Amino acid sequence: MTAGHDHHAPHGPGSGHDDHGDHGTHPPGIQHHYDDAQHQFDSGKLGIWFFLAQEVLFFSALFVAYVLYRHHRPEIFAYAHHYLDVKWGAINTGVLIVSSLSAAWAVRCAQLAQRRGLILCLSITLVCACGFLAIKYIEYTHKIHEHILFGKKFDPCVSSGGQHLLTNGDHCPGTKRSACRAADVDLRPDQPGWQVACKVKETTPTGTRELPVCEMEAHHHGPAHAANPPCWEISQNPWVCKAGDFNGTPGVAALVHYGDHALRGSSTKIELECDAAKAPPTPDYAADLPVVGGLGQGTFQPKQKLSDHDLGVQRSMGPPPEHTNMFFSIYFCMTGLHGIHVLAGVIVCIWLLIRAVKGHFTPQYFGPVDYFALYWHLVDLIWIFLFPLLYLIH
Amino acid sequence: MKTICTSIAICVLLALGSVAHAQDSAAGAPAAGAPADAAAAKAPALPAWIQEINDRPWDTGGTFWLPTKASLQADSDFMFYAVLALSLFFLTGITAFVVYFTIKYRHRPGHKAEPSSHHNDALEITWSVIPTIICVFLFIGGWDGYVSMQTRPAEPLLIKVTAKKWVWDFEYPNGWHSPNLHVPIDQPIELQMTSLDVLHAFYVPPFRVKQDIVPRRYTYIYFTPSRLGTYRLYCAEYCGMNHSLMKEKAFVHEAATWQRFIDEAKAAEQNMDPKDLGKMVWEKKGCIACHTIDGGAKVGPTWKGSWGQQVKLTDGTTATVDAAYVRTSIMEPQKQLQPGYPPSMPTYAGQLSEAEINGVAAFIESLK
Amino acid sequence: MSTGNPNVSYFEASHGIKNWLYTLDHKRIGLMYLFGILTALMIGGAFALLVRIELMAPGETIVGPETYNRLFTLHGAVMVFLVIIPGVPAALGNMILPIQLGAPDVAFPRLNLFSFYLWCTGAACLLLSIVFGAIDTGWTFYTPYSLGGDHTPVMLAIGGAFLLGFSSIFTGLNFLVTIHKFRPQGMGWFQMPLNLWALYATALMQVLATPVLGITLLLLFMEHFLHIGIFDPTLGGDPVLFQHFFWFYSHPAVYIMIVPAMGVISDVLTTFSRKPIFGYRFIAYSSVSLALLSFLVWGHHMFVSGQSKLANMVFSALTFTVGIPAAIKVFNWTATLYKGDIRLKTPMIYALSFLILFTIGGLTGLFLAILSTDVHLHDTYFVVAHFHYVMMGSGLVAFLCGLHYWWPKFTGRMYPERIAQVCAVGVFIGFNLTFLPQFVMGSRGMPRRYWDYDPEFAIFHQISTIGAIILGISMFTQVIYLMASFKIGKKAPKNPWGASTLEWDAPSPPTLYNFPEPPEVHEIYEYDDIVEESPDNWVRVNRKGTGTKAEH
Repeated sequence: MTAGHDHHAPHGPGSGHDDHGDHGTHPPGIQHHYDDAQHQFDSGKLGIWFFLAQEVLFFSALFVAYVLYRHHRPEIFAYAHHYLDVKWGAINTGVLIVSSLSAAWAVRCAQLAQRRGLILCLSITLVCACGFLAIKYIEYTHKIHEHILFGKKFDPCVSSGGQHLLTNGDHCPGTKRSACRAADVDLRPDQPGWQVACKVKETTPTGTRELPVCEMEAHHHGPAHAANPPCWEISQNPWVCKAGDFNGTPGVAALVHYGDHALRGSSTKIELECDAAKAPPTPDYAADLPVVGGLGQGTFQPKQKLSDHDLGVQRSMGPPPEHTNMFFSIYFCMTGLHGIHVLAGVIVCIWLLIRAVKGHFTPQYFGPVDYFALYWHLVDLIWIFLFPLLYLIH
Repeated sequence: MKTICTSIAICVLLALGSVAHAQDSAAGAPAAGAPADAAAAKAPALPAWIQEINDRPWDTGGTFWLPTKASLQADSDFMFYAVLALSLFFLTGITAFVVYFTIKYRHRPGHKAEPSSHHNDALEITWSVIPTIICVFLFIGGWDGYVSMQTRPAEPLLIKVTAKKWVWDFEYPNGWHSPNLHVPIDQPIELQMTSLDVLHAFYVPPFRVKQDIVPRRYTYIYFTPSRLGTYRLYCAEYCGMNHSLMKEKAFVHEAATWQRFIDEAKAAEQNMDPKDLGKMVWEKKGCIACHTIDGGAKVGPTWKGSWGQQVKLTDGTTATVDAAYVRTSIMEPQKQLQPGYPPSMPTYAGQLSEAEINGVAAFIESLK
Repeated sequence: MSTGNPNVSYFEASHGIKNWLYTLDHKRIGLMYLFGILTALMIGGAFALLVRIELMAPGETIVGPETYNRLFTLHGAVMVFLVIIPGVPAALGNMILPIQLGAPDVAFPRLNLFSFYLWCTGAACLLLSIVFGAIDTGWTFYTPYSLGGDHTPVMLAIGGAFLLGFSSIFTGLNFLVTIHKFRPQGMGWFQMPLNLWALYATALMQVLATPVLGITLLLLFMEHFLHIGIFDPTLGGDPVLFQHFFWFYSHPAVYIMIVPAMGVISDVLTTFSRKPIFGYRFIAYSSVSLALLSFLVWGHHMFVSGQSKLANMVFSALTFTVGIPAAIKVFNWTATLYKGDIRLKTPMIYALSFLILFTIGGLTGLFLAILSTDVHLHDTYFVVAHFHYVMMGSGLVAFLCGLHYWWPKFTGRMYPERIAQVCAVGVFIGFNLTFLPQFVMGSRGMPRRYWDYDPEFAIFHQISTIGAIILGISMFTQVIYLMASFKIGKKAPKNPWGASTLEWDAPSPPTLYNFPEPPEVHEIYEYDDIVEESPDNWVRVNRKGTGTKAEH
């Protein structure tokens, strides 16, 4: 296993050089405890292979988790991957393959002392890597915007396919709030002791129906929010204003979450109707506040629109199975960890580029370029596994 | 040298001690872990014979190494003694050789190492093969015993177990709930177990069975009690602060007695004075971990003297400690929090019956 | 490679704190690791003593349950991550491995320094977590319990362990490449000291197993803070999956603890018996086979976790296979003593203790490999005793063995022999007194991680605590005299033990690049031409067969 370079008598600096003075016996870039350039290169190469082995194991747990969860809940994977855009994934694959090619070519250039070629190839690798990260950024921001995230944050808009998702106005199944957010609704005045009940009505060309409300959330307008504790406390329908020490901007906005938003087009109208009545008086609440009926009536359009792509998906797929968030947990962990490795590669590549420009690499000393290329090939290889596993599930 | 000999002597003594040295069912300490203030309140009104059984101390007998055998699964003790004997044999052998060689070949002036072979294939193969064969037998013996613990018997008696921090709940076929396990002798038992929060584990040493309890899953364990008595029941998977206090008892009854026990206990609880029921809930359903009844400080507010008081809540309002307040605290504990206490009380929604909730309110009221 | 005067000892080669903090010299790095590890050993030991004092009586003795839970968690985390896993490889390995190869340094000296700083940062995070409230999850961090709790201590503890993992990985990587690429001419694989075989096998495990710990901790971290749901049953995750991931690393980890220990013992036994090790090849092969087999048995920590019967059967069977190489080693070591010339210096006392304590540890592992008995013994004190016998009675004892053995080499000083021998015996007695009763307690049903216990177990706990105190005194005394020896120890000769491996040809302490002249590679474990002369019992090296003066 001494890899052809069966070397040397035990090494000692018997030549009597001290500190770094004498470079006569060592070419530049070769560290002193190595016999020669080949020794250093071979050691570095073995080192990088071991490093790559441990990288594979570092990712392994995620692949195992993927296999296990896919085996146990195949319907989640079958449903959820539709949220991923194969187009971006394919472009990313292509980009990485090109960058792998340019990395390998860079090694060749270094070996042949082609400094310009080396710089060009490293640059291409760098650009491709950055391109990969840019595409990842696009994908991630889209998901964040659509609330297609991991764990409790998985909260995409849901199409019912014409059915009611909810029963008894309770929590939406599968996720905590499986509905789009409604627009803000003003309700005033917000005085203690009020009780408000809201209804959501959907009007389509075919008729009007009431949508069940699954949750309501109150927040105050403007920057006074942080300083003022919430006045309106929600449990279930109806809400009751509890605290008596609200001093901020008058007006409370309600976010009403309702099931089955049916975002099907601009001809759909969704109306929120809220009625207020004064709660039974308690010793803490002042009596004799004016009763204002029919607060906050208005017509509004839902804030969020699904892209056509997702709409198409939604129409045919039905609501997501319970715990669909699991797919995205795995998706974000795997692509996120991979992305971090790409980023690390970008940093190393920049460093190599600088050194290449300075002319550090020669046919006798090009180890760092070689090792980087090996690392980069692994990063590419991991993506080549990730892409079909995540994007191409059928 | 001397010390090595002494250690061997200890080992030998231990080995001798493992000869069956059965003790009587000695008086083990009464249920530990209940803090002193429990004694202050009145005893709940269960029938005397049931109370007498509940108060029995658990068995602390057995051999030097193993507790009393109380189930058919305890036949796996044979494997334990077999591997113990094997271990003592090899340990004595190795120690003897080490000591002997060290003494015989010790350095003294003029003494030198004698030539000897550096390896001996025959010997090395022998002492590889023999342990391997022994291991095969050990594996088979172990597998055999294990299968009997994991194979569902033909018609087991099903008892449902719910574990949560830091209480046990056993549900019997007649619908009765108890923190203790009551089983009839010679009847195969199936425990269907789940956890409401973190990992726990069911362990009764005399039954020789143990199984982790996982949240959102059912795990199962099977055993057939074979000896009447009272035994200790432990939680055997670390579950937090009071893991070591999550101890109860397992009772093995005659079949007829068992049926009578669970029926009468259920009836008695249904007719129990709400205050007594409430006290039982406090002791057995986990309230005791965080609330005292003597005014002492703990994780949560003390119940003593709290009834009827006006308490300030963290949202600035005040509330009266009445039945509605108690109910809210049990079902939605984060809704009405008193300042100065951590918001860590778990909800009991679905775990207490209406009677029990009312009982808790009545009990708190009685602590004025 | 490091800079400085190559003609004097590595202590003198350069001065100033910067030349220590930025050193690339493996010996200085090893020494700094040693100080860190000994400090961590004292801290972890203090936690252990507090645990044992609390357990003197049922109920509260000195602390309540919340504090107790933190004490045992920290004892475990500090000892496992800061002491025993780095122990022999990072402190002794860094010191000795290149010198045993006749090399001037490890393959990647800068990576070595980086590993050390990762260790320091990880240690700081772990210890800082104590300041911020400390974790109480057990060192095993089982979910879902570890998903609760205060964020800051959990974040620091998990983050610290993550960094410590990478320290271990890079050390292992360094050693693998060094052993492959820096062996001198004349030292093929089967001419290497067994200590190097052991370090090689350990390094394989470090590089291949530790990344799995890394990703597990990363996932736990994300689960804790972002609720990704992978281990949380309420979000669809599986808490038992955590156990699988955790033990996939942590089982090889315990072999990372014991295999280098075995390497030390191999070298020490042969030196103090003055004859070659019996069955060199078998021991070499068994080190590597232990490393490889260690990856296959993690499920034996989870027999009662809800795993399938099939999985349990497979893991039980494989666990037996991993015991066989270990047993063979014990037989081989014992056979090494046969017809030897045995000197009971401190390293030898530790090595002989190791033989007996490791035998106990290994045999009690059989109880746990057997499925039916494991059901009864799992999560009881029997397991606690078993792993202390292998991790401490064997692992730590071997660390102390190697420390004393190589102390003259890398410090240039002798430790005080008599006191050291007394401490070694004290460790043996104290250790057995502490842990033998725990076997009995465990088989009688006493669960582990219990702050409170039933009165019938009290006597065992009390004996155990007394043993722990004796053990603690013996350990603490060692640290004292070792530190004192830097100033007042006798100057050490090149080869006080008459050992035969290459590091004893270097000066004590070595020069900056280890050897002033390239050393001559000779056969190891041959003692014929090493002649004892001095009445002090110091052996003088006499390779040329003439009365060469000893070097002092």
